[in-house]
This record gives sequence, C-alpha cells and structure tokens, in this order.
Amino acid sequence: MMHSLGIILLFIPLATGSIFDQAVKGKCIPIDIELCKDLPYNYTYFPNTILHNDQHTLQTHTEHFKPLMKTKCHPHIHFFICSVFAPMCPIGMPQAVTSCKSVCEQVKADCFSILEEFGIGWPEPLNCAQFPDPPELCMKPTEDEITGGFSAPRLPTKGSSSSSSKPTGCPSDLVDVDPHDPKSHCAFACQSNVMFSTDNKRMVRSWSIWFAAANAGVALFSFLTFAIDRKRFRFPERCVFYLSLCIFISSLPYLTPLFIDAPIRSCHALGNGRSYLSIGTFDNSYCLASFLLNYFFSTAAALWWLMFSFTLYLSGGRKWVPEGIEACSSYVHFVAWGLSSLATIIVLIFNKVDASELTALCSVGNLNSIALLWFVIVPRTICIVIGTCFIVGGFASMCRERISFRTRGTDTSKLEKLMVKMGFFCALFILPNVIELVCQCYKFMILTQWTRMTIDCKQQSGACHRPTPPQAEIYMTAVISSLATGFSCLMWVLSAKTVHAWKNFIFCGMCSSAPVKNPIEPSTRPLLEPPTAPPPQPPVYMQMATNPQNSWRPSKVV
Amino acid sequence: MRAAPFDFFFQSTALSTFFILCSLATNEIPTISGAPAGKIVQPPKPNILKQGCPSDLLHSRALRSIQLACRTHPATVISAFEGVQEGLQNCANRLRFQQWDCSEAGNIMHDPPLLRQGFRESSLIWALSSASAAWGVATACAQGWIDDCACNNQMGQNEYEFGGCTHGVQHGITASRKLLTKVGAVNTLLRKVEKHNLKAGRLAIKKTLISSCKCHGVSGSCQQKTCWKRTATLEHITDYLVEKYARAKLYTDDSVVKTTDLIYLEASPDVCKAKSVAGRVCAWRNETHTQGDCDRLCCGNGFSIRHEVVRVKCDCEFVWCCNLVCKDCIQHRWISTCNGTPPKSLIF
Repeated sequence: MMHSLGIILLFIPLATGSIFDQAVKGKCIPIDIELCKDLPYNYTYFPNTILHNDQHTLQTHTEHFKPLMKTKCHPHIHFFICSVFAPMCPIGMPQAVTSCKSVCEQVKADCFSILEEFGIGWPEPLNCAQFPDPPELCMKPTEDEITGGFSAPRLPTKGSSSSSSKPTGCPSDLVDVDPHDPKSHCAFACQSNVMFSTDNKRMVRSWSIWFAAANAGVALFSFLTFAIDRKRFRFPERCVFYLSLCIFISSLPYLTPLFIDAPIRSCHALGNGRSYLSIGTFDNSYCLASFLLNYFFSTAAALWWLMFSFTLYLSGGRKWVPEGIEACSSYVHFVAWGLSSLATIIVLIFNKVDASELTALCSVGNLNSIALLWFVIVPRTICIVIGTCFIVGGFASMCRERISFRTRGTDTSKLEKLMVKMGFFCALFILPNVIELVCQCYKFMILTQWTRMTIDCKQQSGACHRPTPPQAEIYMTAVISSLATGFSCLMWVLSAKTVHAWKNFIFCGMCSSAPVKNPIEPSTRPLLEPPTAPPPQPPVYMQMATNPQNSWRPSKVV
Repeated sequence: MRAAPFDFFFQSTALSTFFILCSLATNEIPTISGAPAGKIVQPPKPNILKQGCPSDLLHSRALRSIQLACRTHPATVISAFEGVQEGLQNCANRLRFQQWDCSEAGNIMHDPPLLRQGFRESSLIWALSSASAAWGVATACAQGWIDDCACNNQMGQNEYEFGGCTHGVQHGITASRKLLTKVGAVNTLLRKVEKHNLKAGRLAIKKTLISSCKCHGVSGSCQQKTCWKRTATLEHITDYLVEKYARAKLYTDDSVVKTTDLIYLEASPDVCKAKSVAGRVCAWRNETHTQGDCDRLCCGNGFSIRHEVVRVKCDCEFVWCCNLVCKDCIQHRWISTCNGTPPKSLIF
C-alpha cells in the first residue's frame, strides 16, 4: 500500500510539469475570430492543426475570405470557412472537428464560378482533399439543410428553431426567378445536378454527339443524292427528299456541344450573378436557335413522313399516277411546312421553350410536363397512327395487285423489290419513333412528380422532398431514338443508280445523263401500269406490241 | 545537496500547477482585459519565466555559461531548462519498454554522472538535451515569452503578422550552443565526443524543420505567398534521435563520422547489474496491440500480469448542430510488471 501510494505521488507531478503544455498541447478555447463568433458552437481547438498557423495570423487570414463569405454563394459558405479556421472543439474531448469533404465539394460546386470570374483559383486552405470523410469525425449539415432546406439570413443557433421554420422561398440549390412573386418558378441552377449526375450528363452528351453526327451525315447524303437526281425520284419518293432535309437540320443542335459551352447555349443569367437553365425566356439567342432548329424541323420531319404515307396510299391504294400526285404537291408542302410552323408559333406564344438539364439543349417539354404532352407526345402520336393506317392501306392494295399479277403470270419482282424497300423504310422510321414516344411517356411521368417538388416548389405548402432520381438510360434512349430516323433514308439511295448518279455528277454532269435516262423509263413503266387485256384474246395483244403508238392508248383508257 | 533537485522540481511543479489552474479559470472568461481586440487568446507568459533563475542554475559550477546567462537572459535559460526536462520525459516514454529507459539520466544542466562517461546512452542524452534546449527556446520565442528574441527586436509586431517567427529556430539553436557547450582549455577525447553529440542534437532540429506557408489576397487566393520554417514537435525530434541512438557508432581516433551521427567511447554497462528492475512495467497489451518483451527487460526475474478494464468513448458521431454522440466501450488491458524487491528510492 505504501509503495503504490508512493508511485502515485511520484507520477502526478510529472503529468503537470511543463510550461509548454499550453503552447503545444491542444485544448478548447473560446472562438475569438470576429467573423466566426456567431457560429452554432462556441469553442474551437487550439492550436489549429489544419493550417499549421500560429494564433497571431488566424485573424488576418480569415479577413481574406470576407468577400467570398459575403457573396452567399452557398447557404453554408460562412459555416464552412469558419470550420476551417476555427474548427469545433467538443468539450471533454478536445480535438478539431471540421467540415466533411462532401460539404466542401458542394460549396466548391456553387462558389467556384464566382472565383473564376475574378481569375482566382480555389484557395489552398479550402482544398477538398484535406477534409475528412465519414466514418472519420466531421461536421455535416443534415440532408434537409443541404438538399431541401432554405437560405436563412444567418445560421440558426438552435436546432429546434431551424427545423420548425416555414419555407419562404426556393430550395438552396434552385434559383428563384422572381423572389417577389409567390408563384414564380424555382429554376434549376446552371450546371447544377438536380435530376442527373455529372456522369449521366457526360454519357448522354457524348453518345448524342456521335449519333447526331452519323444521323446528320446519312441525311445529308440522302438529301444530296435526291438533289442531283431529281427526275429519278417522284412522289411518293420525293417526300423522303424533304424528310432527309428536315432530319439533317434537326440534328445540328446536338452537335453544338463541340464548340459552344453548356452555360452559353442553355442558361439565362439573373442580375445577381446567378444563372439558371432557360425556362420560358428568349434572352439566350443560342437557346432560341437551338429550339427552332430542333422543334420546327423535327415536327416537319414527322409531317413529311405522314405526307409520304398519304401519297403512298394514293399511289398504291387509289391507283394515282405520279403526275396526278405532283399536281397536288403544293397542298402537300402546305400541310407539312404550315402545320410545323403553326406548332412552333404556338410554343413561342405560350413561352414553353426550356432547356434540358441532361443535354443542355433547348427544346419543348424538358422542364414542363404539360408542354411535353401537348407539343411533343400528342402530335407525334397522331402522325404515327395516321401514317401507319395509310401505309397499311397502301400495302394491302399493293399485295392484292401483286396477287392478281401473279395469277396472270406477270413478272412481279420489281414490284416486290419496291414493296420491300418501302417496308424497310417505314419500319426504320416507325420503330425509333415508337421507342422515343415510349421514353417520352416515361419522361412525362417523371416530370409530373419532379416539377411539383422543384420548379413549383414555392406553391407547395410543405417541404419539397424530391422523388427518386430518374433513369438517365431511358432519357438517353429517347435522345438516341430521335437521332436514328435518318438511317431510314438510306433505303432509297443505297443502289447502283446512286453510284451512277454521283459518277455523272462528279465527272461529266450533263453530258451522259441523257443516254442513261432513256432505257430506264420503259423498263419501269410496264410494272407500274400493267396492261389489262384479257388472256383469251392473244391476237389483240400481239397487234399492240408491234405498234409503239398503240401501247400508249390502253394506259390512257385505264 | 542531494535533495536540491527535488526541491527545485517541487517548486516548479507547484508553480506550474497553480499557473494552470489560473489559466483554466481565465480562459472561461469570454474577454480578457488587456488583450488586443480581435486577437486570438494567447497563452500568457508563465510566471516561472518572470522570476529569474533558481539557485541551482544560478550557482551552477559545471556550465559557467549558464551562470553568466542567468544574469543577462534568465528567461532563455529557464526555457532551455524546461525544454530539456520535456525532452527527458519524451525519451522515457519512447524507451518505455527497453532496458535502459532514460529515467535516471538527469538534466544536463545539473552535470549528472552519466554524462561523465562515454557510453552509448550518454550520446543520446547529450544530443537530446541539446535539441530539447533549442526546441524550448524556439517555442518560447514563438509564444513571445522571451524579450530578447529576434522577432521582437527587429520587426516588432510586423514580423508576426506577415512572416511568423522564422528567427525563433535560429535563436533557439544559438542559445542551446552557448548554454550547453563547456568552455575551457581541457581537450580530452570525452570532451570531443561531447561536442560532437551536442552538435548532432542541434542538427536534428534543423533536419526536422517544417515549412509553413500562408496565402494572401482576395478570398485566400495565392496572389502572394509567405513561407517560414518552424520546429517539429518534440516527440518527432525525440523519435529522430532515438533512431540515431540505435545506430550510434564507436569512436576511435581514425574513424570517420558524419556530423549528424551519434558516437560513443565505451560499451554500455549491464543494466541488469546497475539497478533493480523490480516494479517496472515491462509489457502492455490490449485486444489489438502488444508492446514490450518481459523476458529480456526483467533480467530473468519473472513478471506478473494485471488485468484492467477501462471504459472509453468510441464511435463518436457528429450531430448537427453541434454535439458529439459517442458510445461507451469497454477496453481490456493486460499490464505486465517485473517481479523482485521494489527499490528503496521509491519510498519517501
């Protein structure tokens, strides 16, 4: 007993001996930095181990960050900076507790653009690599504070008052378009990740660029092939000529990421320095041009396909001759270009142009479910349904004709070849459109949920809790399907005639086009206009074959 | 004379304890009268530095330079002495489970018997004392406790604001050299070894300097950057020198040694014969770690194991805002102690 008592007496003085303990050992001291005195915690750890600075310079160092704090670029910028220079020190367990790395990443995502405008890099003391991650001890505002919370004038000092406060504006990661209007939109902040992550965006944008380039290339080739050989293509094939033109032009906006940055082509800037994805504004000319090229010409493409199916029905089902259809081509043009113009004008009048967060391109129905339904889903569905009916009717008639020709022993190989080409063309056009429409319905369903919790958040009475993030793969399928219709035009230009046409165009031009043209017409004409002479009268048929003039008369009679 | 070190130790201990209690009470007050507005609370100058040298240092006969410095720069001498004390404690902690554990080395300023021999252990004490004295003066200088520090003399407050206290390190090294180097015409092999090891200790401070940088400019951008050097922690310096001690070399007239290496003249005595190891903690074990080798440390006398159950807080999580929520965990420890008769020196 005496020995242990002696040992205790000997060791106790050793533990309290050094004059350097206060200077070297860490302990909790009251926060004395003026900028950080209104924090929710009162004690900080000293010495500051994060910056390895002595106490003399902490005050001066903190003053450098005053301009950044005043921008309020993130609701917790003040708390974050003070957690670096005055980390929290829990009483009873002296240690420095600073912010988590995720908090640093979020603050940097929101505030880095402001520093970039002044040509300043992200400060070294705020380098996110040095911040801890759970399960290491670190400070992190709750999920409500970060994702669904509201920008308070100052950090709350009590947890209960913070949780019970009523929502007065947009969530912290959305931009209030008009703070004075209680029903204004909460727009998506520019380059924010509200519905999609950065990886989703990068994936969709790279895939869409490749598909847009291929689609535009194929459509342009088809268009030029039609242009250098106009007489070869007549109605209904001529509709594909205008269809390829529309597909080519509507693909161009998807190539703009190659040379125009996302904020420039899809964002609208407010006066306070913040910018948001365009929604119902025309201030961004790139956004407006992107919408016009994409929506007008994609609508025109759908209408030209409808016109193709209609003229196919007239030709195959109603036995119209190409000359008769061409006489009515002005009406076909009027319907195709006129209706697409009307739809575009209506969208502009109703201010339904908006930018997609995923692709950073402007169109219709990216952030508005009603606009998506009435300006995209319904018109496309009408075109596809009516066009399919016309095509089915036309094909049914051609099948009946083919059967009747076969009973007479006539060679129907050319008619069958034409039917195969038309069939493939229609399938290659209908299938991507149907896939895209299914994906657009999924988008409509997702948008209905998300719009109420984000863009219309100010009109909700409670907190805006967000639904599950949407599937980026389905959105990408919609984009890729819309960029795959150009390949259907290849069915009309992949042939030996195309090679001949391009050869003549490149080398001779006008000289050798005339001789090639003459042998083609007689060979195709008999198939399109079969004779109807009865088999029992062979002498009459023989007499007509011997006289060229007589071969024209039966067609006129028919 | 034998009781003198203990008297001084008790005096400094009591004064430090009283000072700590006053500091704790003072820190609870939100604002301190006299402190500059907006400045960080800084540990005030310890009372021990204001009183001047104690009598044992004032009348030291081994190191005459200490007598002279006590009359002109008492705060520097006391800082160096306290630094050496701190270094010896770190050494004892570091060599806790080795046969020789620095525990009875004695302060170099008291001319202990160990430093009159050329053992390997003497080389470590020389180097560590030199480094610790330099560290102590540098730390006191950084805290602004020494009036003759270069920072205050040259630039005043400006030096603190922009460049930190770069001169503190050099000031500490200079003070250590002047205080601990013996003067005189005696030129023996032991004196040569001593000077070499003292220099190795000062070089250890230089080898372990840490570079600190600060960025100036709007929002902390590095438009202008200021860098300075400061000493590492004394634990780090002690580790550095213990590694050198493990690789110390026997010195002969024709041997070539580096200035950073430790050298000694004669083999170490047998620790088992020099003193009793009874009552020493020879090993320590918990559920995940084991330290110490009792068979070697207890000189074959055997040891006993004591089981301890300690309650610690673990798995702490931060709850916004701002509380720590921890779990109460039970940690098992097994502490081994050498057998034998306890030495009489432990009885007061």
